[in-house]
Amino acid sequence: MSGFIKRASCLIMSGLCAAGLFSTAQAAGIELHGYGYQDYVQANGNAYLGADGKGSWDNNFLGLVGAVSINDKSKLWAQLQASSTDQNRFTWFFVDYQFSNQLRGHVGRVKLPMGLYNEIIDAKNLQVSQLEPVMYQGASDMVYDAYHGIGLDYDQDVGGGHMMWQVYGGNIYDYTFDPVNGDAQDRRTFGGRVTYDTPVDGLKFLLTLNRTQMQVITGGVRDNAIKNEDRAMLSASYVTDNYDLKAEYAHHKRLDVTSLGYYVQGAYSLNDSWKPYVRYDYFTTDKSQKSAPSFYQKTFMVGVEYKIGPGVSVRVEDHFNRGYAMPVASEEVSAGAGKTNWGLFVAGLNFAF
Amino acid sequence: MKKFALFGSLILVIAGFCNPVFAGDIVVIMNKANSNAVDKGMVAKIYNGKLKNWPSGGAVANLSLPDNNPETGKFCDEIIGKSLSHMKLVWSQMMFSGQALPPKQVASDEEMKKVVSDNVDAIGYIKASSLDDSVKAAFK
Repeated sequence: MSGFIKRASCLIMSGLCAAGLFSTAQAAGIELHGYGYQDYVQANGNAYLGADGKGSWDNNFLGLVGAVSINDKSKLWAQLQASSTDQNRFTWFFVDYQFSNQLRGHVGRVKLPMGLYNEIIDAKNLQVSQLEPVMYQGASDMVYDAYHGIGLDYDQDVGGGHMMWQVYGGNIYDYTFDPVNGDAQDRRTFGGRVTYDTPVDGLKFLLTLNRTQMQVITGGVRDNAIKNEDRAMLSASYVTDNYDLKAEYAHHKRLDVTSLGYYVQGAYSLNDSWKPYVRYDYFTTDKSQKSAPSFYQKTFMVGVEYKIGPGVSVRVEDHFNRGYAMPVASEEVSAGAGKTNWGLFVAGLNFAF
Repeated sequence: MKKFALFGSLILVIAGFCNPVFAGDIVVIMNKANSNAVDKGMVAKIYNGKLKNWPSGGAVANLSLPDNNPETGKFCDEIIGKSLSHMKLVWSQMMFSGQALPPKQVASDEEMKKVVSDNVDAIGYIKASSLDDSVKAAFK
């Protein structure tokens, strides 16, 4: 409990500092916004996300996003994050340059454009559910946080719709790499994403491709040969004032292991305050062993969101899982030792300012 | 008399076409020195973060009234073609993924006109009845 009080105090202090920074920041021409969440997670059957049957409050996040104009065409952007499970750090920071209305470039530590959610993965207030789809959860190893390098975005009107082409290249920003015990290090990365906003209002499709070169490390010795690691995602989203429907498929090949997953998700706004949602998720961390409960996970999730006020909402959701690939991948459960049928309860408070 | 009445009616109809008719009772305003041709589609692109620079040069400075101002909801519905809640989500997504800033908020129609008249790159919206000579309507 004392650990919780300490963590909560840190977050509250961070928030108060942020609030106190606003008037100073605005006076200096800096736009400052923030968001955050505090979750309660209870895992029944298998430990996951640091939670077990007793539950855990150890899932929270505070992000401060700042932007300052350098001149008419360029801005400096940065996000500073704090959470109880990670060190405080800059999630991303980059300089953005608007070559023209269609062409934009960025250089720095840039959030990797992957699928529908990767750039906003920590901004729960912008998502449908409290716990993100399995393919975006850290244990799935499907997405990276950011890259250090250069990216280009190109917008074009196509018929009655709109396309955005994004390409990038650089080095993976892998703050989790363990230089002592790590068995591989991700290095250079390049890829892109195409987003097609169709003429049908609210309907869009995305294709994401990424190749990352990794260096295998065996017994502390780096292999000179570089191996390729490939990821692909196909995404569809249909959002209206009342409906939010999404589906994605992801594929990942790393050395001899192929993992893949998909989900379909729907939410319906009953009114300005209440929004129920459901999702079906499937993921396998190793396609060659996909029939073993340690390597697959099927999840049916149902939840509801209530908007308390401007920028503040609460969500409550229940995840009914068959297979425990994620607890095994996160090393919270040993392969073969988990419960095939297990549950995850998540409740969260989200805010943005 | 009949001819006079017919002529008078015709004059009134022509006058109706000549006078500006604004969407609902919202008018999009620009600085009088801003010579860019603007229509609803361009305004929608600006407020969706898809158009950041004026064709003539200069970064667009788009403004909005507070969320609880009824004109904001009307502006989103009638000019952008999306609900306010949808636009707030769009602006948040752009902000928190480092793509674009949300429109800068001003408190009232008077402040909106002041900011727009002081900045050649600014664009905003007010009640049609608040329009005066300090700014110009972007389109009719």
